[in-house]
Amino acid sequence: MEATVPFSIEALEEMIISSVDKVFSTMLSTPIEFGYSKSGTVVTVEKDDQPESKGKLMVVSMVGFIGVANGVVYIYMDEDLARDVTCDFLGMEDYEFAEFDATEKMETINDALGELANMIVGNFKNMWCDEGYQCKLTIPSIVRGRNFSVETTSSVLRRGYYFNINNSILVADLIVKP
Amino acid sequence: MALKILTVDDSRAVRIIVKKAFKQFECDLVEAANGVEGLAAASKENPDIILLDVTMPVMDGVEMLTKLKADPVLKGTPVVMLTAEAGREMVLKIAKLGIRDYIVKPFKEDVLTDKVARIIDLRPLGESNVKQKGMSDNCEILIVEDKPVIIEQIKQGLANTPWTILGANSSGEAIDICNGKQPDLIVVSLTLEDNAAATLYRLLRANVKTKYIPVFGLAVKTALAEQQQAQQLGFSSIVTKPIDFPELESKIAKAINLDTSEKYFSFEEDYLLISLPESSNSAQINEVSSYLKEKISDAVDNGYYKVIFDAHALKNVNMSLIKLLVQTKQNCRELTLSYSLVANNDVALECRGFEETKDWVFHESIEDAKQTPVKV
Repeated sequence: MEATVPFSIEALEEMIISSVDKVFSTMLSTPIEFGYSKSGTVVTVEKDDQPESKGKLMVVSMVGFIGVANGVVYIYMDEDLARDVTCDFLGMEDYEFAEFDATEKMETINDALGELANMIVGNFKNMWCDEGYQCKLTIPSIVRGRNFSVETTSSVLRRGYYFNINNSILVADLIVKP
Repeated sequence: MALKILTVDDSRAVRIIVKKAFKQFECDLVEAANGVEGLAAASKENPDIILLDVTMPVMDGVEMLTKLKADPVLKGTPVVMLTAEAGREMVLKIAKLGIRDYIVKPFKEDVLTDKVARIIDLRPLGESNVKQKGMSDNCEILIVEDKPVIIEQIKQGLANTPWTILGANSSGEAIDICNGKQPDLIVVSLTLEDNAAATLYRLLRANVKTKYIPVFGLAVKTALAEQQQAQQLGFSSIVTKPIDFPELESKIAKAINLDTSEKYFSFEEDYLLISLPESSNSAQINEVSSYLKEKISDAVDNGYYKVIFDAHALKNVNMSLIKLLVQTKQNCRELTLSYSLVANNDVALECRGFEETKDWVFHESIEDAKQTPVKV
């Protein structure tokens, strides 16, 4: 049986969408919109549906929140989008990024996407805090790989929120344990 | 000495963003990745302000702030929290420790720089060491006026200058322009609807990018109440309609600290030429006087041995002009330069009426002066 949380599914959706939207509209110049068209159907929320990597390297940043409420948010994007988002976030030109060696490129992307996730989840959990569910953020971490999946136990609530950014998919995967 | 800003954040990405935000200001950024490094950097660098994250490894922002406030040397350093932690309880807890402001991530660069500029005297980069512009350099003057005919009139009136005159029909349009490239000076009509001139002035002064731009008020000569209100608000100067364009040009040049010396001084073949325009007023004579010593020194420095003062275009003579002529002669004598004066008959006759200049010899033209310089 799926877990229940203090907020309705609609309220959670609104919280995560507004958090992603706020961070992107404030810190980046690239527009982002909720919903992504997959096979002609607009996909907005999919339960237990892993983002498809289609053989591409995926970069996933995650930040958790612990306290009265506990959970984690994974932000998925492919390597190309991760690079574009990093450059936009740090105000860096493509040629500046291209001058980095492989390690510097990876570290720069990790730093930027870790902070981006920190801001998104920070915004999200602040809404919980304001409703009396005090919690703190965990430090961000990054996972990279192809064809991997994050599994959860049955006692959590999980929702994937799809966003369209420059015709690429960004997924905010929310897992909450009340 | 440049201001020092210490940014304490475990995220290198945030430190890069903060550094980028302050790139256009005269300040040095010092970075630290946690509270321990932050305290060490604060003791060593004695920053003017600290931007502090809350959640960090090793020592978090709350602990660093507590230790900072317990340090007799550092406790006065203003601290701005820059964090994703914005729950009401956390904000209240931190506020009790004594901070100057609180910025929640995500943040706009402008919000960050504006808040910091309210605490320290942040100035745009290069304001103090940029090469002084001259009268032949381009400057951008923004006219905020809802009557296009006035903007056109000003464009025509200043057409003899190399300045670019930009027009904005409303304060909103003016703000948009200022958010891009900042003009060198702004002239705001004091008759904009709903007291918009005053609102615009306050907005300009509240923004770190525009707070030092001179702002002139534009009003009808008889609209004394509007002029008084603008002066009280702090407008740099008032321009009255009908506009006296030579006067406006002088005022603008003075307000944006233009080097106007090239209007009066030029180095010719082997002499320094000082020319006064036909209708020289006392402001212009004072302007010439302020450059005099420096220009005559430059002449000597560059191997010139002769100074020709061309006053032939002048219509009348007054005491300030006589003083200027005497001052020029005196400066030339000190540096053993030859000095010749070119004047029309009227000026020469009037000069004979003054004790200081009654015996002076005048040349009829520059050509004549070049041939027979008078030894001083």
